[in-house]
Amino acid sequence: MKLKSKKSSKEKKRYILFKHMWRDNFKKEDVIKLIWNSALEFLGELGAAELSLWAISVDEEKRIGIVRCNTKSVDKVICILSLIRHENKGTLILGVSGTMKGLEKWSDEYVSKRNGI
Amino acid sequence: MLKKYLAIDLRGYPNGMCEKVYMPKEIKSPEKEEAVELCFEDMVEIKKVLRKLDKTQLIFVRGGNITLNRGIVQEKKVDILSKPYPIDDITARKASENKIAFEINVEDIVQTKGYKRSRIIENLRNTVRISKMCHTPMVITSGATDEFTLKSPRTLVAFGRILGLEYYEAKSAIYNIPKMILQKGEHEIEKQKKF
Repeated sequence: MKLKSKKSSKEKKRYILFKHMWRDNFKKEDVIKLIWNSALEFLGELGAAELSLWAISVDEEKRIGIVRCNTKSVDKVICILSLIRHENKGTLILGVSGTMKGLEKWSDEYVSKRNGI
Repeated sequence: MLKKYLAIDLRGYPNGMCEKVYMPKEIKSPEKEEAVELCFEDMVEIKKVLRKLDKTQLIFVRGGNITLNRGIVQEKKVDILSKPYPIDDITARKASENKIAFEINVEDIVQTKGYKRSRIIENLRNTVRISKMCHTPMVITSGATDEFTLKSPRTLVAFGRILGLEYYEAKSAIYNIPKMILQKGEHEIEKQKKF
């Protein structure tokens, strides 16, 4: 008997590609910290727990990053990302997709390099 | 970049994501600008300036208290009521009759924090609830002032959803309704030519 959960029982995900406008070489850890602080400030601890938020990758040089969340809270995560302000500069949402490959539409160079294509 | 979303930003900074972008200028006396915003606390002064403004211009008027808001929505020349809180159903119904839209400015939420932000969201949610009830048009604007505070059309839709709009309503608030407002001025010029 296979011990594998059904695909239908898994949570559906969305990937959000964003670009931050802060200074170059802004560390990955700092970006993730800013995202989580914004989420906790805007939604609180209980609200942030419902997002299934996960920062997948952040490119320090190109200032581009990918976060993952569940399908129900895409709008909330987009709001959280755009509410971040650092040095009077914000973030720009480039695209939302159900797969990592789908994000190539908006930034093919970065995503395909990350996927190893 | 996000080509699926057609958008007209009535208060923003020029970018490639939106079809048209307007940058309303705050004025105290009549000026020939493409988009203007009146910020007065007295209805008499608003009426005085409105009389001298051209119908082709995009006219924003900033709301204040409930009496001022009720007075503003009775002026047919006004296109958009910005900061539309506090409002009641009478104001919303009158705005609907005169085809005056309520503005949701995303930058109002972004620039504030804590208690003030939650009060603004509460007020905007109330405005959305009343305007949905009375079929008042609503527009979502980015309020961007430079290239670092730009917002994509998807972000504007997300903020609309947070404030209580349905997905299709939020989408029409960034394209169909702004387009309708811009066409309103063109119709009035045609009417004038006929008579």
